[in-house]
Amino acid sequence: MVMTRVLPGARAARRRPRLPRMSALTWIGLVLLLLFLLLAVAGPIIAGDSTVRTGDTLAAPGAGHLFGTDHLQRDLFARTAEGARVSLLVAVAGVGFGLVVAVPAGLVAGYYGGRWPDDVIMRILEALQALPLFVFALFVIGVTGTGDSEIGPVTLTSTAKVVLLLGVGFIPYFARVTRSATLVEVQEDYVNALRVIGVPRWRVVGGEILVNVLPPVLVQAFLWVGVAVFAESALSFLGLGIQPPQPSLGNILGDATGYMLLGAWWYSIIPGLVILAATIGFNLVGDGLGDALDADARR
Amino acid sequence: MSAVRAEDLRKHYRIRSGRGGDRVVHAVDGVSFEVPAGRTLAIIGESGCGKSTIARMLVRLTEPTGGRILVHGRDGVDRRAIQLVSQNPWSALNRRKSIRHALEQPLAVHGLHPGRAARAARVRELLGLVGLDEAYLDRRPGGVSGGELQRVTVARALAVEPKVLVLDEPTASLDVSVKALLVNLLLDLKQRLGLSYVLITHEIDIARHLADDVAVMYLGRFVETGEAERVFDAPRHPYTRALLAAVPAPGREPAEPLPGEVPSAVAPPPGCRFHTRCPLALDACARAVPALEPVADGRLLACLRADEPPSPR
Repeated sequence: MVMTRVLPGARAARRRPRLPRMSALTWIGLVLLLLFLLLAVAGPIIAGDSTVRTGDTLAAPGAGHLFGTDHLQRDLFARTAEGARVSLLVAVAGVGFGLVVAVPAGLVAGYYGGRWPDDVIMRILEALQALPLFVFALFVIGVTGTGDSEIGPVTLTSTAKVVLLLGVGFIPYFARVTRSATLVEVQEDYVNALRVIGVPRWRVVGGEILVNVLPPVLVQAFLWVGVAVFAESALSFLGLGIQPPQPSLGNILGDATGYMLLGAWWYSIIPGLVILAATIGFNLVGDGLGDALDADARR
Repeated sequence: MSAVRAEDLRKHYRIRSGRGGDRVVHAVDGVSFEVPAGRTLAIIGESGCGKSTIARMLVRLTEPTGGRILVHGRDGVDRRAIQLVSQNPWSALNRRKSIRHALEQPLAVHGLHPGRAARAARVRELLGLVGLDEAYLDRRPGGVSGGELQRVTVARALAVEPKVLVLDEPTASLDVSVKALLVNLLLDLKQRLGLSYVLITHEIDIARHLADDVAVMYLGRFVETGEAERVFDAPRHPYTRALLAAVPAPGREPAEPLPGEVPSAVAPPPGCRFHTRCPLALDACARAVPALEPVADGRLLACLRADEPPSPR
């Protein structure tokens, strides 16, 4: 037997797992992101209840209270950690909701690129995009109120409303990315080859095109989680988002504004830094992921 | 019964243009042919003459504007009777799916060989047919060479047990050394499985090797059809002659290329479509459309000057 061919086993053994090559910025982003995730995931477990009154009003950060306390004597580490958790969940859920609607819409639009289903979908999305997120949010919250609203049998909490608002705001962007990736993919010969074999259209789109379209879309979605944390914070800061006593990074900041002049710098600076870390972290890591994906595609 | 029969096939594309209404591209304009079972028809011609449009119509990716296609006497869409092998195997296989997936999919779609064991056996058999071993099954197209990938696409096309394969430039993206291997494989498969081929190509030597019959196409129409050997050895139509003379061969310099460009299919020339570039054209060629008519030795020829002896070179 001729042994010149490289056996698949030998090839797999050579590819040892090692640290991926990343730029310095990506490393910085990764560190910030991990710190944020640590705070959001482990923080609430360590700190316990975020509504307990500790007896210290506006105490500076120290051994007893890592991030200090607020005007209602609550521990700010517990509040910030809980707020980070809420912000993260809301952001991920918002992006997830956006993806669930936008990816199918973008796939269909891209598959029928230039024909009427594409036109219909894209015009609707353009109309949606023309509406600034905050104006839209002001309108919706203004009509439905900041509390829970009941739509038929479904009760929407204020948190759910923020998730939906963020998701709807993101749909046009996600759909655009999906559509443009699909437009490229539809040009590949396998789309026709599978049609000739008899694979139904929905399976070509959902089973074959989707796997090639999803990676760039997910990278984009990852970037937008950072934007979502920021947007949620902004809405809550204005009092339109997560309602007290439930903490969120935004409404902690909102509470803190009155106490900056009293010298309680920690009250606003620390949650602000957490928002900054999350936004920058998600962006830098998302960029790194995008670069890795490009490099992978070029290989 | 013939394996494939095309009757007066037409495909006109309407393209929107700003002023003056729509324009119509006459991609294929009244083409008829027949492929007897077990034979190979090669359709040759320059790029843009409508060859690939015929391939797309045969496998029902494009609906003809006029005329009809019968595959083994039947008119409807039958995804199992006729299959396609296209030019670029890297693009014809999904880069994120394994070769196993590519071969199992047609079986799953048509419910052939139900059961995991039967399906795996059939996939191995298909790979064996094209001379590949099981080591390829779990690989993705990225790590496999073009010649081997093209074999995979042939295996995928054969998975549904078709009677006819449409080969659309099957060797155009392969290295010279690999081309010969694929041509031999195709000849072998035709013998063993009793297939009929419609070969679309601009590579004359590939057509010479594979074809029993040949049809020469120019601007959406056939200009000459007949048995491959006769057409290649003694081309009658001036376009066929020019096409064959352009192929370099040992001891022979390729001939001067034809003057001018292929005219636009939006406004094909009146009369004989080749008259603008034909070395033998007369005034009459610009007026009368030559019909595809039988001449000696069973050939069909569309040329007003068919009866005249070939001009001395």
